[in-house]
Amino acid sequence: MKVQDRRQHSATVAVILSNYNHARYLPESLAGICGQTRPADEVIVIDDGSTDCSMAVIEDFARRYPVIRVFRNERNLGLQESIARTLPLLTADYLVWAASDDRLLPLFIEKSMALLERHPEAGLCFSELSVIRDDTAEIARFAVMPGIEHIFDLSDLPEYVAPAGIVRRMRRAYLPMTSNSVVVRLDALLSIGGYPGELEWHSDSFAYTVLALRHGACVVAETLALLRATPGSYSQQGMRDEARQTAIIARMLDRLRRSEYRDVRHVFRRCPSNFSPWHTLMFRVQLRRPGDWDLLLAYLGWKVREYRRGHRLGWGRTVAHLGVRLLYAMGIPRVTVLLEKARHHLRSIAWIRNTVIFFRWVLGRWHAPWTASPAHTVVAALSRRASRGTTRLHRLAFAFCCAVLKHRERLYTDKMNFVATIGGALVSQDVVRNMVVWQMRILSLPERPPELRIHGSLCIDSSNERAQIDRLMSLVCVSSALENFNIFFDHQAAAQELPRLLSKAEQRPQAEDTVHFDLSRSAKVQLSSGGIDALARAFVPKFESHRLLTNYLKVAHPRMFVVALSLPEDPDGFCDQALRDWLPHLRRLRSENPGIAFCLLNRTMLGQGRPFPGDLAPVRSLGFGFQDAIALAQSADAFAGCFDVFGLAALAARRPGVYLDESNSSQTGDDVCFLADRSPSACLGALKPIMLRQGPAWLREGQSAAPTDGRGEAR
Amino acid sequence: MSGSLVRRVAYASWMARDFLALLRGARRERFAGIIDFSYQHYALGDVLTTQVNLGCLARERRCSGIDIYVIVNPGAPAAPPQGFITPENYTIYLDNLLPALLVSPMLRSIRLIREPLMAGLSVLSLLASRVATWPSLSDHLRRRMTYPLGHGIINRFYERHGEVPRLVAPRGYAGWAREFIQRQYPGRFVVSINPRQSRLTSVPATTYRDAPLADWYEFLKTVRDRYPRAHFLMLGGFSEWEHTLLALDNVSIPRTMGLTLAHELALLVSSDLFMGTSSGFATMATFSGLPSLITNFEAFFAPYAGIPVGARRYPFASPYQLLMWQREDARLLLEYFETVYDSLAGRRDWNARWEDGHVGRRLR
Repeated sequence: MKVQDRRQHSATVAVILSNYNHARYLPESLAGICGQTRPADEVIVIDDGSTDCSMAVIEDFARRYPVIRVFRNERNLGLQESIARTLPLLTADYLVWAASDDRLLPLFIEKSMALLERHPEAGLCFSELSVIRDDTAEIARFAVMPGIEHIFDLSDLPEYVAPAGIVRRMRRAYLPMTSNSVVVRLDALLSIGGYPGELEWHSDSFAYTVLALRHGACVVAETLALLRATPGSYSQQGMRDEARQTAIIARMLDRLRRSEYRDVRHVFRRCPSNFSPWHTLMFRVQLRRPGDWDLLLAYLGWKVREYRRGHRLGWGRTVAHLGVRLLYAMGIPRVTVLLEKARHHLRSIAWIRNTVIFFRWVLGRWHAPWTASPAHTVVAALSRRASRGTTRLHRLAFAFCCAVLKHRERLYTDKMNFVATIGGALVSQDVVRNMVVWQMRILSLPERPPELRIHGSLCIDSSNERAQIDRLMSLVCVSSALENFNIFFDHQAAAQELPRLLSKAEQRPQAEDTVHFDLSRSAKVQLSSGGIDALARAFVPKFESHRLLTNYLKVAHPRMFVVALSLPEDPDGFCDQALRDWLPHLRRLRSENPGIAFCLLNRTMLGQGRPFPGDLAPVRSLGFGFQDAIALAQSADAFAGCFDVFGLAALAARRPGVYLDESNSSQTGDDVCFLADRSPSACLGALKPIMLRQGPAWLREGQSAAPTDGRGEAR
Repeated sequence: MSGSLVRRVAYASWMARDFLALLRGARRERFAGIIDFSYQHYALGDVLTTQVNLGCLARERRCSGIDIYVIVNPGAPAAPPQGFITPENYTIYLDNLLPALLVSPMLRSIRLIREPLMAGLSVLSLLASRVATWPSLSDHLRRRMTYPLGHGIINRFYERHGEVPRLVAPRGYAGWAREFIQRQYPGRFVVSINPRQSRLTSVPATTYRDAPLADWYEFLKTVRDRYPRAHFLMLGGFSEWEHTLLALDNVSIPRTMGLTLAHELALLVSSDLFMGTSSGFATMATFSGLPSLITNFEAFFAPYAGIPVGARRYPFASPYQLLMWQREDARLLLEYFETVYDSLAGRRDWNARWEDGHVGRRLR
């Protein structure tokens, strides 16, 4: 099977792996290499004189996978030497330099080679760098970590980036290309003399940077390989050794000054991000080499710019911060110690300032807009001390602060708390409507300061298995009145919090039924002008829904008079029972006036398994949700049906139409009709004159919507 | 006057009780989950995994209930990777996801907080009350959350207790779903399916994980001919399926009935079997204990799930919950379906047959 797979591909790929005393990680690493979905054509494993049981592991794999060739050094030659000796032996077109402690994911070769075969001019293909932490086996994707995602996130790059594109990307941020995430073209690598061994653990990234700058690179913007972060690894150990790092930087700068690397040096000057892995050590080395001061200046400028961007500082503070760091890096101990002391004192001053602000706020003498950060500082610090259990005084201080803090929170909350409960078993059409009425009443309260935000609380019986609260939750989401909202499912939890909230709330000079509102009881809608304004404010604009609905109406019902229809719902939330009664009447009206389109706002099962009756469009079955249906009620040409949440939404948008509500019959006007009679014939009979008054001229003449193209006729 | 005095005394005693409770470090009966969308993701799978994490942590601390604090600042409604969610459209994403918070049986309350000041006070209040939270206060302040959410907490809980907290139908929908299935599909073997089709959505992502639809159609048609008792429920967003499905009479699509995610999750839990791509619905099936086949499982997720690449099951999964790492085809789907159908619909002992090696040879 694997041989067949290999024959399908024209380009060949080799994997080399050098191991020294990594028997612990080898099974995982070799399993990753051998478990590729596109198998490697050649796998060379070099044991560099290991003294643990590495050879046994390697031989076990070699027995199972004949593609593995094993070499053994009698004594430890070092990684670079082992790799340099192996390169001339390779016959494949592409190369993967795997590490014995890293892990390749199964799609690594398949995805990388697919791109390289499409872009044979590319020098290499690399993927996103992710790290597996040795102690916890936790995987860290740098590409999603705030602050560094702009370096490691490759999703903005095309699948092949030409040399000019690589330069552009490097000007913006460092481009990480480490050996375990790269498939490199072997002839290109050999043309620069292979990996420069004198650069030790930086040899791979230097060689790949040179190749990418000369040939371009393919990019896979996802993690295909995992780098193991262990303190004792080859690269980690080396990078902590400052003397060796300094020597490597000097060797790299020497190499860049050679004539064959002039082009690369030029790019490094333009893109100083390439020096960033060495941090301030690079400054110190460059400072001692006057011939490289051009690079130093470029790097310094870039570093200042990055620091300013990363810390969101002004230029003055940036220079001050970096000055301190530079002094520290240059090793001026006395200045550094003094500055450190000053910083410590400044931090203490900030802490004292925060404490003062906190206690002034606790005592109610601080009325400025409060941010949570000083309070966090104080309480978190006290919490830490209290949890350590240093003294009783600490614990007492912490408990006191917490009690006062809770008191403040309650004072803040109590001012504007409103509670609603549901008594019935189901969140019915009426309950949803009453939720809006409740908000409308809160917004109409004369004593309510306009800037005051409202906390709503809702209690639902947790044993109720048919409540279906999705519509209430939707209303909470779109409500402009309810800033914060609690839903209690547990009577005990509600009983703990609500009596206190209510006892405080009832002290306010407001209507009691607004403070504690029963959503299951029928509530009358006050249709005064102030009431309608409050109703309009209860619905926030829903741009996304409005955009979707507008486009739908333009495409599905062009030039038609659109009537939003809301029918009485059955206990299970569908309106099928009512729809059966209404359909013949709708059909009759449409046959008289083919230019009308009815959009049904309720859920229905009627169209399941067969085409839906063409006399009305069931918008909820067409992918539009509850919020979208509210938007449709507000943007249709007219409304007809129950005075439920859709009716309220339509009325808030001052839509003409027939609203089935007996309590407001006296409010009937020219374009808005309130009907006590809930029969379809009465409703549609009242709708007809409104429609003729509000609709376009052709409707009055009894023509179809689109006399020219006949689309309206067809509907 | 006297009423007012009584109220004040009651309030003072309430405060005194709190104060004493704080001194004792009490308030162990509840556990709080903080879901702050300014750094956490609007993703069904992650929200469901969060519910299980909360259940594990709450049970370890012997808490009886979970309060979920959902913090949404309309000024910054989403984490940077989800930049397409803006102050103008976040209510749609929030509305779509909220039902996923109703699936924990330990849920006591949900608090939706949109005011930054109130959010800060609430979190501080939790700290002051010594209520255990997840993420911890320091992680929350640092906005530290690694995605995708792994199964570390769940696997550790399983190692200690031999089980994990299960997810149930969303609160207030279990009865509805049972009745709906009994009324609409009486006597049928109901299979929930979710062949992922991100390419059909408005924000396509990781489209290589999408399911091969042609194979699914072939599978559905074969089942229609051979097993007329079986009925499929296609779950997922309205845009995530092609109109071809509407022509299959053994497939129903809840979204075409105007139903929402809450209904879908309840129907999923009430169905007999789940088959589909690794996704949020697959997470729900996994943690509700439903027999399931999750196809095209990503090798990338293996370390997060704490399983080796190629593992047949999650450590805590039931024997009939399978993971499939390769891309599904019609034959594989049919083999798994027949295996489960024979065992569950035919009331034969699934476990015995599986362990004996009589079934699912190819799936092994």
